[in-house]
Amino acid sequence: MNQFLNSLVLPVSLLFFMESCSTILKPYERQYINDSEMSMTGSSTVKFHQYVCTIREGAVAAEDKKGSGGCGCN
Amino acid sequence: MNKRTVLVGSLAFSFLVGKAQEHKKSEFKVKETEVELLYNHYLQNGNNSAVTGGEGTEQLTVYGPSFNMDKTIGKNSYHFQLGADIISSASTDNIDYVQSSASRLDTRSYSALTYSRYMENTKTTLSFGVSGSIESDYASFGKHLGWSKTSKSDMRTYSAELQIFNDDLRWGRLDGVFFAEPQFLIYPVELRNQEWHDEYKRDSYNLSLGFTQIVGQRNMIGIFSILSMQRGLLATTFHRVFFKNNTRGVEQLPNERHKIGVSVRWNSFSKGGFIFKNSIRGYMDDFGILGFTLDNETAIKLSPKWTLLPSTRFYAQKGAKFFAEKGEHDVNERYYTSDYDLSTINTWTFGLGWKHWPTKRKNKRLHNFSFRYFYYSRSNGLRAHTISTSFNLMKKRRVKKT
Repeated sequence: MNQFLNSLVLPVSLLFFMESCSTILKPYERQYINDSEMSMTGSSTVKFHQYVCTIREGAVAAEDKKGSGGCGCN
Repeated sequence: MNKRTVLVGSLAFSFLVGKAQEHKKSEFKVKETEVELLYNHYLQNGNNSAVTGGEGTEQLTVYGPSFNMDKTIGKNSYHFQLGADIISSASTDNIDYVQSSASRLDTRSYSALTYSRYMENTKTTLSFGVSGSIESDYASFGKHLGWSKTSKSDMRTYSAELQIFNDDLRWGRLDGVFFAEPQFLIYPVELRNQEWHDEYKRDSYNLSLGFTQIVGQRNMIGIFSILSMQRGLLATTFHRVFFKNNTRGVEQLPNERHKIGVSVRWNSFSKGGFIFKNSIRGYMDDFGILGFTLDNETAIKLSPKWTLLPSTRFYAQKGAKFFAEKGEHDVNERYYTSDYDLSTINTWTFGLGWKHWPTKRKNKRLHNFSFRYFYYSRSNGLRAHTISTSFNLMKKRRVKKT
């Protein structure tokens, strides 16, 4: 658990630094941020490959939500 | 009529109109239906099948049609998914060495239903859902509860989700009759003289936490983490293990596993229509696996209608402490596996695809079409090809509140 907390220190510090640099965007300044390709969640055509990776590798990705259970034995 | 009277009259009229428009707005709600028809095709070949103890064909073909529907009515959203993976596997055929056995062609069917409600006052979304999947050697029932909140300035989001999966790993549900009573755990044919496992259930609990921050007009940073715990039968009962003394056994793994994953993602919309989506991930668990991933997806906007989608991914893994190659395990060990998915490996993925928006108007039926190809290479010789195609249909309209 300590290792997990230590690994969070750098990204959280980075985030607070970024937050302090950012200014609030007005709606008309959001054309790039609101682009569908800027979404943090992957498209379904990418998700299948990510699902394959979780079976062929031992790790799970933190931002990819598991859709259903399965043995992944093939 | 003097100027002052005209001015006051005009202002009064504009307030009246303004009020009328506000009232009109609240009478309507947006009704949006999005349907996605998806087909995934997966081909794999390698020579380290865990079914044959770490040596043997891993040839596999998966045909995967899927249907997704998202419906939004005002502040309520519904998501429905139905899909199947039809699996033709040469390795599972070697459970009993019968080339035409039921394991030769298997189907994994899955479905999910999610309800979400957006609360405008607090900019919060609550969601819950259920999911299920079934294959010849398992059935899984899942539940999840999610929460997300956007900050007042719309610059930040926080999210949390709890998922629970309850799996039953007995064989026989799809033998002859669909949803037949499950019978037993399946072992390799020559090892059926004893019960190797007395547990047949597996429970998984996943807690995901997420945080995203908009940085300027073109950048977005996200931090995600997952804490996962699994309990029950975590070994695959038809994976063979060959010991140093030439005897054989069935894979044995601990009945509990804890996983931790952290990911940082940076999406950037650069000049010239290039969107870079970079992520770096770390992973560890108490099987001794350490994972590290670098990932880049790029979207190149060639025109308003065409987007090119190249991607690259690198993954390095330190293997589980229970892994050894065929014939390397000692018979006195408590836990053992020769499954190369749990070994020390590194992998590369190269992808290319495109997305096409056939019309500029989003309320036309065919919203977009996308195609993706991925080539996957693992350091132990496993190679895989994935093709995914998606047709996205959308209907959006404003309806009067009842």
